[in-house]
Amino acid sequence: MIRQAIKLIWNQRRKHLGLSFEIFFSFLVLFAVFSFGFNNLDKYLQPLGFEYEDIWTFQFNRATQNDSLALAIDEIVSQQINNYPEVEAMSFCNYNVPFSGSVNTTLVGHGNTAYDTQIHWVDDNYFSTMQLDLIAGRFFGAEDRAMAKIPIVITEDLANLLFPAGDALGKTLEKIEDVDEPQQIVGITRNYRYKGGVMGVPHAVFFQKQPQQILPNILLKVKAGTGAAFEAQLMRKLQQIVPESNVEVKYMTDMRDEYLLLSVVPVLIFSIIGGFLIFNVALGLFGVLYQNINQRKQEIGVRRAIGSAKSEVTKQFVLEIMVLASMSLILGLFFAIQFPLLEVFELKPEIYLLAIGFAIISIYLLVIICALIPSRQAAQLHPALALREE
Amino acid sequence: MLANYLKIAWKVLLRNRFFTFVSLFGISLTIGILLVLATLFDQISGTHYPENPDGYSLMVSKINLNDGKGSNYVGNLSYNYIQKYVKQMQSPQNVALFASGAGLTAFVGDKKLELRRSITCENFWEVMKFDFVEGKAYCKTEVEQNAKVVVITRATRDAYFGEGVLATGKYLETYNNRFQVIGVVENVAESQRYLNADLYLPYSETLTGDRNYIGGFLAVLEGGNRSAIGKMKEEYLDVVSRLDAELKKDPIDGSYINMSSHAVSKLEDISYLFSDNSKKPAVGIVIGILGGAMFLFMLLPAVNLVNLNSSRIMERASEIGVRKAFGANSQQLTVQFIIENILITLIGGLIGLGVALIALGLIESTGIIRHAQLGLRFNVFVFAILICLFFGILSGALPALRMSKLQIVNALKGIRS
Repeated sequence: MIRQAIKLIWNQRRKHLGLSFEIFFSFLVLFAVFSFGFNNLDKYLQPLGFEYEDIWTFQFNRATQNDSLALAIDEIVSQQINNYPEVEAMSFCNYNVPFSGSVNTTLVGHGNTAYDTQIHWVDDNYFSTMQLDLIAGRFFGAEDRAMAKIPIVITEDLANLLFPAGDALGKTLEKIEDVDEPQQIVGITRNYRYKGGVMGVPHAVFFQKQPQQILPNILLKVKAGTGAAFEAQLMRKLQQIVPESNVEVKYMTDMRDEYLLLSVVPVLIFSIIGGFLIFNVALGLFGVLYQNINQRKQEIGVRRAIGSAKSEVTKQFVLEIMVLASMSLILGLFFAIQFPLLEVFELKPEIYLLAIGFAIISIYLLVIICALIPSRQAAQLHPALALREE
Repeated sequence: MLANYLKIAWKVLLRNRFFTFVSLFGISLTIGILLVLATLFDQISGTHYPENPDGYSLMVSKINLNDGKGSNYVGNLSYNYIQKYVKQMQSPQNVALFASGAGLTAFVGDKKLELRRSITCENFWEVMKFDFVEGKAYCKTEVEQNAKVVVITRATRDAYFGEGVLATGKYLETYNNRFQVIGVVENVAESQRYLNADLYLPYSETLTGDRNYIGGFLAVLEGGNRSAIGKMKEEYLDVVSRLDAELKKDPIDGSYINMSSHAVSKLEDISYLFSDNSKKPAVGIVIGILGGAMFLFMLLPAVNLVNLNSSRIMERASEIGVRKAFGANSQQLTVQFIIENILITLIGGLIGLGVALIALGLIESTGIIRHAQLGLRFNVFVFAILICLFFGILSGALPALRMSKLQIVNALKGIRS
């Protein structure tokens, strides 16, 4: 029966060119939408590696070019803020806080094994403020100040990539960017997905703030339920210390929502457009098949007259369209399989394969539904009526 | 002749409701989606409030410094740079400077109000055509005297002082400053990447202490007429190449020896999202990318329509046979079928227009783009008609050709060739 169906389709291949092109193209659209969607879902489901609830952040302008004055200001600010019972922890860090969109990347490693990595300059309180998860070693602290080497903490994926033997702790990294002193790994944390949402797993290295270093950003971990009243109080206090500081406090929960929206909107638009295209194709396919099957009434009549069951007739038409779809899918697969093979767009191969699987199932479902209704209708026809039309 | 074709086309449309529905559904949604996208693109690339439609303005937003070894330093313009080099240009009839973007926090009782402030010079109010709800803009003396005055938008007024309350003369307090409101303007849509703000302040010298070329300002060059645009671009390029030559002798920060910057239209500014911003703007690339994406998007519905129309050839077989027998040639029949298809597309386009209007209304009501007025503009309407024609011809040509090639005998008998 399948051989028969293939023969029938093959004999009419020119007539079916348009249909196969449509199915082929639909497959590619579905493949793209599924890859995109699954990729984002996969990233979204991975743990962030930090807590964003009740974290406030703001840039702090010391309004002075004098470094020692700025350090003195930092000292006072740190004291004053830590005095508030509402504040649980506080940290100075660089611009690239989670969800800020600000980045500071460099290549870590050498040659082929160099990885794009975020550099976070942070003080000792950063880890407790952001509640990072330590896997091995320790976070740096006051005791590291005496060391000749700069203590660093790196994320687990980077540690495994750089030191596949699993002995990253205590190792020294080669010179990174502008830092002249050698850096020693003292701790390894869970992956730190500072952009959250649907961003991939970036590698990160945390550097200990040097005694003379001025860091522009302040992070606060406040008690749950602390609101605008305390914020106003805090701002007034900061303004007393530095009148020109133009502080704008941001809540990390808001920043996260904004970031998530930015990453969800493209998925949504892409899915709506893809969905519309496929629905359009479904309607068209239904129309074409309806027309084609109705033109073959004589054939149906003959088959029914010599004893074929209704289900046999239906089966034939469904089988035919499945053969046609399979031919287009083979061509589509040829293109789609290049993506995992050539590692285009740095997506995981599993995601491409999953997307291919889902796209194939969707296409078969689509053509079967579109063929089932008109072929059933045609099979219901009484043989005498079908033949009379001749 | 044409009237006859249209009459036949209408009858065919009414003959099979299901097929008409499928055709119209595909066409109208395709065109509707394209119209929504075109309107959104127009929002960011076209001239909109508060820009002056008769201003023929260009913008200088970025300077690109380069040390010749791969290190780039890109940023907005410094106050000094605009004063010393941009304002000295001959071709613009007016130059305004402003800084966009920074946030400001005000408190109303226990509620926090996050405001976006823009710092501007007095010329800004001449180059831009703001609609004043009440009050007026600040002028030169107020800028020079460092007056603590502010122009706020209607939304800011409603949030801070209360809905519809007159605000002129009253004071707006941020946590560390106090400004007197001297004017209230209509809201500016968020799609105005640089111009949108909740309040506008006169710039003061304390904010402009930078020595470098790079700072926090943007410059708007008003030409006044179409021919001035080319002149301004050329003159600005001259200015930049002169400075570039100076950098070779006396690098900024001891290392930056190359400099580039362009006076650009809004569309050209957007093209920098796709291309290197040290080069000349490449609008062709943007148009190419958008056109390609549009074509790909229309391809599937078009192929769908081609298939649908092809499979319906036999419905028209007897008609084709009779017409051919009476001497109509293939060309005439092709033209007739294409006109029929264009008619369907235009009807679909009309529905699409309605779909687009509803969708734009929904987008507007969600407030994703704050304060945006997403009406369909004339150029988008022209674009709609053009894509209808393109779509109609794209999806009609192949079936029309096939239909017209039917053999007379076969056509009359109702047999497929």
